[in-house]
Amino acid sequence: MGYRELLALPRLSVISAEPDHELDRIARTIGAAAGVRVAGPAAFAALLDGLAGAATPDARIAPKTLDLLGHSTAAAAHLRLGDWGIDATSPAGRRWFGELAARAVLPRIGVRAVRLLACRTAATEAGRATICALAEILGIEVWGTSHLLHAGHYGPHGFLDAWQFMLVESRELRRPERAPPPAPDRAGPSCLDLAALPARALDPRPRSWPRWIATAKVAGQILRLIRRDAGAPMPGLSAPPSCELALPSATPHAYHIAEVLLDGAFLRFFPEPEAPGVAYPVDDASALNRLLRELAARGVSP
Amino acid sequence: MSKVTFYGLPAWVGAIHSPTVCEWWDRDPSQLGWDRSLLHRVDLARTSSAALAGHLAVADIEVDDHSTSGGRTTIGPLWPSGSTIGACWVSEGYLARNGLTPPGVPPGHSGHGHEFTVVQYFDGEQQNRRFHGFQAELLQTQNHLSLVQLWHPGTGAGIAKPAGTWWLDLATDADPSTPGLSPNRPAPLYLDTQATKRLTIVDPKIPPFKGGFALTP
Repeated sequence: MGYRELLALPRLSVISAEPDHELDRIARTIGAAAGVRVAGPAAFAALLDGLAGAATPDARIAPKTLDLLGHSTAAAAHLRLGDWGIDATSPAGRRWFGELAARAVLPRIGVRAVRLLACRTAATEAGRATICALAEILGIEVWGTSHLLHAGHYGPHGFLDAWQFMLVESRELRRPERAPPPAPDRAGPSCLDLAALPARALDPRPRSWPRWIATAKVAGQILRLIRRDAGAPMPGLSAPPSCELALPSATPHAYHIAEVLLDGAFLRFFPEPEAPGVAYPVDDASALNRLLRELAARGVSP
Repeated sequence: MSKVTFYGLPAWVGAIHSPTVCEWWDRDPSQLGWDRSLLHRVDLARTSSAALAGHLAVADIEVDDHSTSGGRTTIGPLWPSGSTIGACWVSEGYLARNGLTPPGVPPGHSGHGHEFTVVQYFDGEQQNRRFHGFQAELLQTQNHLSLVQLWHPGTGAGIAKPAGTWWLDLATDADPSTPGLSPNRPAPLYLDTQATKRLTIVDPKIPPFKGGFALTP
């Protein structure tokens, strides 16, 4: 993959190039599309310089995480790239990363955070000191872990988001009075955008509840009854839906599926296949039930 | 009705006396000059599950069970192979017997004290139920369900984003002995283990550099 393609990725995985079975497995899992192998500081610098050179005004540069993958040294738990143990507290390490920061290489290629993905990079005093020093030199968040990492933590796009909780960031390792506040980012309820939901052909398998196909007009009436900015998972519900609605989509013979819950108090949509769904409150359950009775009377059920 | 409140503290084991008995520091010993007079003795076998099995009185519980046994403690559970750095969730009785006060928020976190507490009931209407402390905000209600925003424990006092928003039945999921939520006012909420298991929540990083674990008590 070329530099310009790498610039457009949201994650750049740099894997230590050394004869090692586990690192080979990780590299195979990630694939050549998102992973680059480097054997030491010279190769790493060449990669970053190549990316910076390709970061021309017409290039698409995605905000990205720079993931460094390798093994860690035995005593200090410093991540190794080839034969280079990354110790940002040593004079040589400070100089190497200081030059990188002075040339603003990482901001130019879109790097917003660096993650040291080797076993226990945050488990020792020396490892934590390197994480904090790197963050201070580079001016971005740096992450490590006190856990053991292996190929199972990776997927085709690199380190899997599901394992993010195993990581610790430099902000959490600094003394509280020095830690900058995290960026405000409040995760609220989901908003319903019907057109953005997946549409699919109706599943012919039998269900224990009825399914009604709504016309575009009835679908519009139903959507007007929903509090569309108050969607959230409903994890504790054990009762089955009272019926299923198939709302027409822009694609012929494909429908957006919604389940009617708790006597019409909620409608549950499915933004992601196989996920539990998002429930939206219905402002007027009796109006919804009236519409459902009309659909049932017409008997439009496949 | 007997209940025990557990408080989550960071723990560095400084001495091991048996497979379950140790002495531990509640702060990084390298910052304490390795002062052994600051060590606390604990028996990791004196847990709520041992009390529920009738092996000790509720008043003698020292520590919550290990995370592999449904608790929140992550040091131990058995030495010499057990972990020596992690979280020790100690009972209020243990704190009193050791002349300690409820610790509030461990260093390095931006949460509230209640985010580091677990309440275990032993009898009465809530017998055998456990409730985990969260920072929560009630956004709205519909029928008997409440739209509630929750923060990962240890992050509720800062401006970190919430862990997520869920429709919950607080009449069945929340500790009835604690005050109810008022709309749009972040406040403590104690959710029982079954409800907590259904959410995507991460245990607080105690101590922070240990990283987190999925909270599936």
